[in-house]
Amino acid sequence: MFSAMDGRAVEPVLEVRDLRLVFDTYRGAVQALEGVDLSIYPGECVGIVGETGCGKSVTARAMLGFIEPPGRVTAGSIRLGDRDVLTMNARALRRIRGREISFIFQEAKKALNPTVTVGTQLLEAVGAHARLSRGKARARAHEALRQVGLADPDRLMNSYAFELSGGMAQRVMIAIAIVGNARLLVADEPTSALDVSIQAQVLAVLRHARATLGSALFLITHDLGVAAENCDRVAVMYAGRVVEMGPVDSIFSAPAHPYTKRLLAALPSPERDRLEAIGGTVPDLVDPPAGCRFANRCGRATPLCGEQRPPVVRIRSRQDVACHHPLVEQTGGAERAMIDE
Amino acid sequence: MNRQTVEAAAGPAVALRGLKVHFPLRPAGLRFWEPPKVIKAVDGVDLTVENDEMFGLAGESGCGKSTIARVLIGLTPPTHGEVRFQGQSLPGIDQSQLRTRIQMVFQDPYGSLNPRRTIADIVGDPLVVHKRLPRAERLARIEQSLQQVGLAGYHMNRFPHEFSGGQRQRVAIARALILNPGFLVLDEPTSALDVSVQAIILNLISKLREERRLGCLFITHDLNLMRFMTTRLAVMYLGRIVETGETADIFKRPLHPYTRALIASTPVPKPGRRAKDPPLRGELPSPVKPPTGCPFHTRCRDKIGRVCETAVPPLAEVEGRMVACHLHTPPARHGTGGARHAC
Repeated sequence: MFSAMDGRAVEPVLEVRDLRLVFDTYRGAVQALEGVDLSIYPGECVGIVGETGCGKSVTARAMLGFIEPPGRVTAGSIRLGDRDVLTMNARALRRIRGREISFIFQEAKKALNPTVTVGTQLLEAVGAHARLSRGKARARAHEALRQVGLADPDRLMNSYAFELSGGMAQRVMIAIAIVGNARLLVADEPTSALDVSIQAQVLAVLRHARATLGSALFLITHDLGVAAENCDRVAVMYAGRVVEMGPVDSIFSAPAHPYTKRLLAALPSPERDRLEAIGGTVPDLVDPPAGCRFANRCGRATPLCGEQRPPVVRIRSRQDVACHHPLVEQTGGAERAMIDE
Repeated sequence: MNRQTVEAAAGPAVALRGLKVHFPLRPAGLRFWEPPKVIKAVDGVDLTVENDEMFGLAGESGCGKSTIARVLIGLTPPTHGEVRFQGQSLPGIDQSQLRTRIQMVFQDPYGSLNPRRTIADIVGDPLVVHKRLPRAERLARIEQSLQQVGLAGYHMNRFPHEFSGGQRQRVAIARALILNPGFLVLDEPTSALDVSVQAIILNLISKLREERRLGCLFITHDLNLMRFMTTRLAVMYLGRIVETGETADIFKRPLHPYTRALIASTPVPKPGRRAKDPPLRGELPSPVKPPTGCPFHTRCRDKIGRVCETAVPPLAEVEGRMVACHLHTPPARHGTGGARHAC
């Protein structure tokens, strides 16, 4: 399921299987994730797109064990090598964070500690992963800052988060994330608070860091353009499920899930006169529908969609979709007509 | 007041001439022996928006696009220059009249609606302030306004927290339209919304604009959106317009190096396009101490030499549009560029 590099004898860095997670509220348990499957292979960039509340951030946080009440994992596993992140205790989690998986937060200026210098935070990260002498630790910190394109590391180490611009703070965050040589970087909307010119710079820094470290990148973004230009594979999430996953070009040129297609049609583009809005709203996840969660907004829905959860099927090489009626071009005229609906 | 007569009376919906907005950095009087420091948020902008036009303002944060919006609706007084509405000069129009003719939709619908008031109170406020209407008539107008944006009468007694982001932005649009203004300022109206909701709001804006022949100033940093929504646009950098003209022309062949870099930096959701090296190096210089000469020369890849550091390039006509760059208007020709300053 969603293991796109079939046939190759490569073990995924991380594999999420049937992850289910609820948030306990006074109204009942919000079923935020309902069976998320995805895998990330060494060195690749996997993007995850979807709208607010679809569960992309909480999936990423679960990968590092950042789930706190009222959030609660009810089923599933997150395999990291031969271990399961979900069953690790606090000590074991501390050992993998930063060393095997690193997290890059959305608003770097808020994520950095405002009361201590950048250098203190960076050296803390260096010290957490290796026992080094002071001089060596400083050298390692300088190297990390240079890797993210920051000149004058000495001065920067003595500055505080508030003295940095948004782009510089995000670079510092990335430096902290890469000092432990993690095999997987998880970035939650790393550029959504930045201007486009700075966004391009930060994404280039991430590409560069990935190339030198050979790490995989799990990139969460709501910007489909960012996903299209930076990822190797893309997962589309809707209401707590990965509805489609595949190579970036197939997702954008031949989406198989009706939701993916509608999402792309809602984007402003010079080839379009009118935007196609997606009618209806996301179902209430306290009491989600038994079948497909997109059925109430889907033009292709049949009674089957309301009753049965669609299984994940492989429709093209490396492209998987969770839909009873995927948009697959077949030779029959009827099927083709449905695609053009 | 009757809109038709006003429109018939005069030209463009909005005309700015030599607009400057400078903010003092610290209170005057303190350290009086030093020259006062100012942030030049807007530094000499000429702009004309026609009556039923969708005009875009693009640029990154700090370029002055929101300040122009605030000047237009009278929230920030201009330091220098002239602001005209349908031919009338801004200081000549009283504030109350101004608000009935120009309204604004703000960026964040979570911050722009008072959480303690009902939708009817929020949408009906402009009527209370500007019109003396019997209660029943006022409620009828509120309901009518809500219906135009796709909400219903039964929403009137609800509070903002009961609505989603997209619905809130509809409420904000209903409030802006209830006085039948001739001009609407839209400051990043969809940047807080998801793409599917953004599509709904953009379609609504387009529909209302066609129905009412509204003039609009559309402010956004998203160039994909700009290309889709506007007919003409201006690109700003550090308080100045660097390029302005027909949207289609500018996207087909951007002339100013900053416009080019901005378009190249914008990710496009198309298969087969991969991210390249960042087209712009460095960050925005401090607006307190902007670079001498061309404000963009510190980041420009096409800098031609000392002239870029010493002389401010004038906004001059090039290929049917206005561009402020020494590349396109060599310094020798500057004498002729000054006379035509309209855009």
